[in-house]
Amino acid sequence: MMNQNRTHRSVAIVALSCGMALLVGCHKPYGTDGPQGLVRLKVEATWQGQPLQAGSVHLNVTNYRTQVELLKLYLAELRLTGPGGATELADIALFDALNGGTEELFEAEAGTYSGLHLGLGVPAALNATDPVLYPVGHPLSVSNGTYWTWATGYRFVMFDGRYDTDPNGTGVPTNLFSIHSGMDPCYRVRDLAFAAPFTVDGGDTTDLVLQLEVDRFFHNAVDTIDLVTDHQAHGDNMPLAMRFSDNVLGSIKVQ
Amino acid sequence: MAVTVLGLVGCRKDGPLPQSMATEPFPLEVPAWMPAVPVPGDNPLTRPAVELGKHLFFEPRLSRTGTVSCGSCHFPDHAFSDTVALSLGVDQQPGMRNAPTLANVAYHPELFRDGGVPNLEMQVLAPILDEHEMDHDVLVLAGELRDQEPYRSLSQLAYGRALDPYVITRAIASYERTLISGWSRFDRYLYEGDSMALTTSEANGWQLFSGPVAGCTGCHSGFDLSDHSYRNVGQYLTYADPGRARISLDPADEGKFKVPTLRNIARTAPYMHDGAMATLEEVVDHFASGGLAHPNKDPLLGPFTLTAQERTDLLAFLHALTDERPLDQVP
Repeated sequence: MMNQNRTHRSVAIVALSCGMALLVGCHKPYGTDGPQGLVRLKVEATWQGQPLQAGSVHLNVTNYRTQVELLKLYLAELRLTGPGGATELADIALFDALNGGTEELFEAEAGTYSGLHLGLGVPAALNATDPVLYPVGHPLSVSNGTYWTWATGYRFVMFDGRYDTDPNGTGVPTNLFSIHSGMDPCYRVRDLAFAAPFTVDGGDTTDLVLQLEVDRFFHNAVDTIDLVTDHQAHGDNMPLAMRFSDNVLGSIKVQ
Repeated sequence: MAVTVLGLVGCRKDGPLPQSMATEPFPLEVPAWMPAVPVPGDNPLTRPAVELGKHLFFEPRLSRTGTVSCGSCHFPDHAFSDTVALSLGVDQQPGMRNAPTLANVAYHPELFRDGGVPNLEMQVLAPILDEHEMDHDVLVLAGELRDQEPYRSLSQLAYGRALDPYVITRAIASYERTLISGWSRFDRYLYEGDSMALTTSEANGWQLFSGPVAGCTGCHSGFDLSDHSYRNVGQYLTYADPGRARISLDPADEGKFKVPTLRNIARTAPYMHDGAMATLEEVVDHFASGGLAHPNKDPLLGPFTLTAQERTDLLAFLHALTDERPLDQVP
């Protein structure tokens, strides 16, 4: 009951926060019932360190002019971790990372934490649930348009845009790319360490920013995604979807 | 207000559905020899739920253009299958696969030819949202129908709430669950001891069908004439459609599709997952050939030889699998 009350209070807080999307799943802190604070988590896309705007054109690792038009993703199992214990922020949340990104408010136990645990995508247990069971506003609601009915699962990362292989080209790139990851093998987890202790004070709101370095979506130390051959994945190109998932996970940076 | 709403009535030619019917079980007829129809505990098969489901099943406003209903591709006169290889959705877009019969779909452990959906309730969303089928927003369409009759009344009666995606999926699933096939002459012959129900040719066809030469019952077995497994039948050397592999992500499942029921098979042409075969004769000849040498081809498939009379008998038997009454039990 205590946790239910916290969830309802938190949801009310989020609903009252102007400009914030109500796209967080239920969350319940665990550990001791100490004082509570709020964590405002922002997820924003960047390109070489600068906020990524929809429609802006950048050269990627293969020297292609690249224009991102859509970048939405699920983060799951969000929890602050540290030697003193952990506090769960949310079991699932949906973010739109372009144009400065979106923020979500999570209730958290006051304390000092050293890292953030997250999953990229929707964990298998949630991925198998029926989307019509979730109310509008829930990240897993059918209203979000993120559900693959044919596979009874959610798209984890939706990444759409245009590209042009001529680095000296002008105007809107002509070729389309659309890479959507999904299905259980694409789920990834990662533990991010904070550079400095992250403190949540009771009754206060603390900001936490995750950056997605989109320029790194196209490569890692051993693999490069060439949009000429690797530009479509909608459940029909799992090798690309899994490579892409690895790159997105690796691109996440915590501030 | 609640009393008023719940007291409203469904639209029936023979009169309203009274409130007392809210929890009345649907009087589903199932042959005594068939297993009980599996019904999920959270979606009981009530009369108003099934009636609502039937209205929704034939409702073209489920589609973005208001032109395509479930019944546009699942014709009752064809055992709730389509008559074309690939059904046409909104804006005349072809679907991905041949629309299968819905006969006995309640018994399927998984839905679709690749088994990608675990239950009927979750299946309903797929055609509604699919851009090649109905291409609609299920929340929008619920809003469009919510205050219309009979949806307003039946939704309250069946589920105690206004029409929404939950009600839509549960109600259509309930209706589909009632599409029972078990009243063919073959059923009378095999299960009800009526030895005269089949002609000599049809009975000989059954012997071929279940015997070692054709061996069809290796897959088309049980009361539904399907073991609901996934098999590659050597239709192509290279499949454009990955079939079961689309879901399992296992290359060994490439080109495998759910074994279809053969009930009402004479009414469900064209055949195969893509509707590529127009006649039962083509299908029989394909299986007699043993199929093409795809690496995943099922080991049960091998060539066999039929005399002209045996081929005639086998085809006659397949025609005896047609129900002698409609699948639809809703007045």
